[in-house]
Amino acid sequence: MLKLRFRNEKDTYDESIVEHDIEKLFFATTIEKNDLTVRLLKQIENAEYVSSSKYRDRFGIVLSISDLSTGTKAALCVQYHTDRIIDLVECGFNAIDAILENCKDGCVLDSEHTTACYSAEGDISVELDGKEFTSIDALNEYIMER
Amino acid sequence: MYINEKYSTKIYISCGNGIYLFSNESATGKTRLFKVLRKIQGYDKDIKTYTYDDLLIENKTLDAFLENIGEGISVIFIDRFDMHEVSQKNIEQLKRLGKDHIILIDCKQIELLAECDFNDAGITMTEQTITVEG
Repeated sequence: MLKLRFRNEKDTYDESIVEHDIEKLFFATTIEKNDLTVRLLKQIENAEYVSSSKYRDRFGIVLSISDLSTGTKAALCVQYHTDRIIDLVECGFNAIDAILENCKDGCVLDSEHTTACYSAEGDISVELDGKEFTSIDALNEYIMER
Repeated sequence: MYINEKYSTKIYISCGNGIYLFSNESATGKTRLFKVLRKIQGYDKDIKTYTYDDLLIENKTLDAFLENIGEGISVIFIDRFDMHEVSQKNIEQLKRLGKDHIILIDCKQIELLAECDFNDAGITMTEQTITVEG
């Protein structure tokens, strides 16, 4: 289950294992080809996995994996560093939605939501406040009412 | 307005002077734009760029960057703005610079810049062009 925590609720997570600098964490990560990696690259970047050091971008150009957006890097880090808390502060809404839709493990830190929440689609597996959510509507409703 | 068609990636920034925030969406081309402008900065001298790596590698603070923009600069691009501890001084620096420069900022936490009267900027790219519209 993907754990969701909010940055301002510091008593709900261990700050010592939060990764704030996604570029640094990604730089230390070897990206292998698996279903999740392929889906995340496609969904966020409209890109394809080529190798652990390269990907093919939306224009068909092969680029270094370091040229991926920070949002995509964060999504991949969620998969590869399930023992850390990945700070999504540099992620766009589309990357966050892709993480919620596709990542079923790990822990992420997001900004507190006061208005519109997530737009992810499909089944999710997210834990917040000890409760499990399998639909985005139920998660959004809970967040707005808590 | 800033147009640069000299290099393999053509840049079209259709903005007047002011502060512009890109939309809160990943993988739109912001980092690619930053990297291209970073290269152009070394050749054409009318661009200034700043990112978190400048703090890590050169210990150059956002304060120092904004205080030393210099003459003849058309476009300022600040990447990874969310990684910085933004001070009231930085806000004042940005507001001052925004009167005479196009300032593009990659920032997801728009509340950090609430006092800046910023504009929204959209970015689109093709294989050989990057266009910013404010």
